[in-house]
Amino acid sequence: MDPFTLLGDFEIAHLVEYLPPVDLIRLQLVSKHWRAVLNSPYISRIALLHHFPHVPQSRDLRDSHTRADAPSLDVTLLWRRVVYQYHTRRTGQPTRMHQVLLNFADAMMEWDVGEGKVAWISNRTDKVLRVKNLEGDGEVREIDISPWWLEEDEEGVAGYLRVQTLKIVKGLVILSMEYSLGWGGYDHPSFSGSRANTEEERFIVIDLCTGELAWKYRMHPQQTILGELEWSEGKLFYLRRTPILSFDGLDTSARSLVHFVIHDMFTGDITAEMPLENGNDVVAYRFLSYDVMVVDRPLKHFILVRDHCETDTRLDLLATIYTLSGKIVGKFLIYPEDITSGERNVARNIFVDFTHRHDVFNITETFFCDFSEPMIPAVLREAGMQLSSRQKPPKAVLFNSWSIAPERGGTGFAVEQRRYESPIVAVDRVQSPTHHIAGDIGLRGSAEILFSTLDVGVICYDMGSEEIGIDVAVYEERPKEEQNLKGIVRHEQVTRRRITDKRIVNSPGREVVKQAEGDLQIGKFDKDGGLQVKGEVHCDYWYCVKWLDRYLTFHTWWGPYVDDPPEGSGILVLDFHPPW
Amino acid sequence: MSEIKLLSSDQATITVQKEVAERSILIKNMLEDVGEVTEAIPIPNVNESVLKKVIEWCEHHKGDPPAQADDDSDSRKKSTDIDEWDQKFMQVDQEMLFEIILAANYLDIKPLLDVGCKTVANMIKGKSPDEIRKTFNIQNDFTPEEEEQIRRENEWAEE
Repeated sequence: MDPFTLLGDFEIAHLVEYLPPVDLIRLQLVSKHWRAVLNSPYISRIALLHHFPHVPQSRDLRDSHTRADAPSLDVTLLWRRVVYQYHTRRTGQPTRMHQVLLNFADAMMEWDVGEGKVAWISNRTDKVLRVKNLEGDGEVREIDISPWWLEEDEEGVAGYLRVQTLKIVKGLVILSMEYSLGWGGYDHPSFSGSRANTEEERFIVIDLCTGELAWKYRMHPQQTILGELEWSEGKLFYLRRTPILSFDGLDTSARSLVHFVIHDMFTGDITAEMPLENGNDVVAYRFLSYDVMVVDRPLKHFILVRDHCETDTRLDLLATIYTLSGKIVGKFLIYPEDITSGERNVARNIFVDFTHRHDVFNITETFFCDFSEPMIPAVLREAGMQLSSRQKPPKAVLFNSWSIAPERGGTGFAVEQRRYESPIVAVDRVQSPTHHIAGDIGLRGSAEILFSTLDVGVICYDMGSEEIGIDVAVYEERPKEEQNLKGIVRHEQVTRRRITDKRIVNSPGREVVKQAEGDLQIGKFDKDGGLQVKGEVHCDYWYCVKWLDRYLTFHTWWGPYVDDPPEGSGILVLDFHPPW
Repeated sequence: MSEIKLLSSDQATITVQKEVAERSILIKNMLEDVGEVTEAIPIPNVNESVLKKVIEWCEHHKGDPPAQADDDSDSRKKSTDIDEWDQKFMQVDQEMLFEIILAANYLDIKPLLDVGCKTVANMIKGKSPDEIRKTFNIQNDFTPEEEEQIRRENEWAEE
């Protein structure tokens, strides 16, 4: 008996919510009736809004029903495109690959990809913003920002400028930067979450179409931003700390005011400044001064994640949820996997991701694993030392993701912890270049960055000869009977595949695999179709990988970089948008 | 414990505890509107055998907390796990299974509708089109050319 004949539209709509998205495409081959049902605008709409409620296409679809001026949409095409993107991301099959060889060999830069463009700026060389079109002519526009960040009275003064944030959003490039007088300061991407010794913070916002300055803003000296900038719905957000000065004008760091500040993204006007409840506690002394602030998409709450170290061997986090008016509505202590337990050569990092999930905040642990086991005994043997079991690479690494979401039917928030188990796979092509043994043996390894909204991990691993292999791993919840950890939902890796060229399209007259300038290739596919990226994995690799709606992008560099600048660097963009 | 009577589409009268019948939001709302009833409440879309089956499910689940409103904030939570009793309950022929789903929708018993749809979803998930045809006895009415065209269109979804 055919369920699609016997059941009505409503029951079928309910049924498709329980079927995997890709099955709803595959099963159109069952019969003409199944094809008609599964291809119908009604079922496509239900399936899109249910399975992918937070993608831009669903937002557009909802808008099309609420706004009279919204264009009508081909909902079946939208649905198919979203499933294509979802499925090919999980199977590691991009449609297009773009490569940008950077004009400088720089690991210390800010960059972003969006709206068909890639933009980057170096913190080490010139202060020129470069914007390249991914499609079409591939033109690179150079925008000299120095006239905008330097005030007239500062010309000729030896100052140091560091770009903290670069973001392409709504036709604008937003840059936030620190300007420090006569100070050379720190210079590493991993420091972007901490702000010490800052003199002044500035924003520059540039119109992407014209390359002209849209607006700029200079914060009062001694005011600082906690964490990074945030943006949504034409607004720009940040947390601003204002120290309360002593009588002699010195910042005693003892007391501060903290405000949640909102700018209009297009004009720069400050539209709100809300004092944070117990703001002074936020800036009290901490071990790392790690701050991340993220705003939810209904623009109702924001989260501030800070380090909360009770010992110096463990980075615990305190996540506080505030209303946009600065009132605290929830506090959660987050305990990452203990770095001292067992796997000595696993380094961990924490990031707060926000990928269109409305009111859910995700805090995700990433890890870097040194799997250079054959190298370590050689080094240690020379030194007459033995390798202890605690120093051996682990067989699997556990890492976590925490979702903090509004309680159902309540006014507060609740946290859900998910734990992932990632087997460490030996890569037989790993070699041992001598300069790494002399330099930092910890550079050779594998890093996994989890995109918790997809339950997909991107695993980057050294393949030797300055090449990185990239796999995608899919995780699924373990069956109920295996969920034996109270309060933690365990996930296991169900597939792990290399990113391949299987779906890279080449249509006549259109170059879709763009080469970097010259003969150098940042990304290439080997004889088996597997992607190889020029560069090496290091312990802060999470900073180099970004996963936006349709793009998976990597910032990579190569050459010795323990103390010296790298030889070259580039950006690789994998585009998962379907070819139709 | 008060009882009410239900009248199936094939004119069978079934007596059931009010508390059990009120697992159906349709019946619950009806009773709230009309108050005390002595007459049998007609259930015109559900025959006796299906109605008895639905009541059996309602009796087993009469103490369950009321169903929550749909929460789509995280669609990944929509699992196809079914508890053991419900799995056994759903071991019926396909016609009865689909009738239970239709009755659950008509009577507005969301947890039963969920269990029914999960059961059908488990019969479909991961199967090839050919296996689906065999499972539900469906005729492949595509011409070879049509089949080839759809296969090409959706080839990306095949792995």
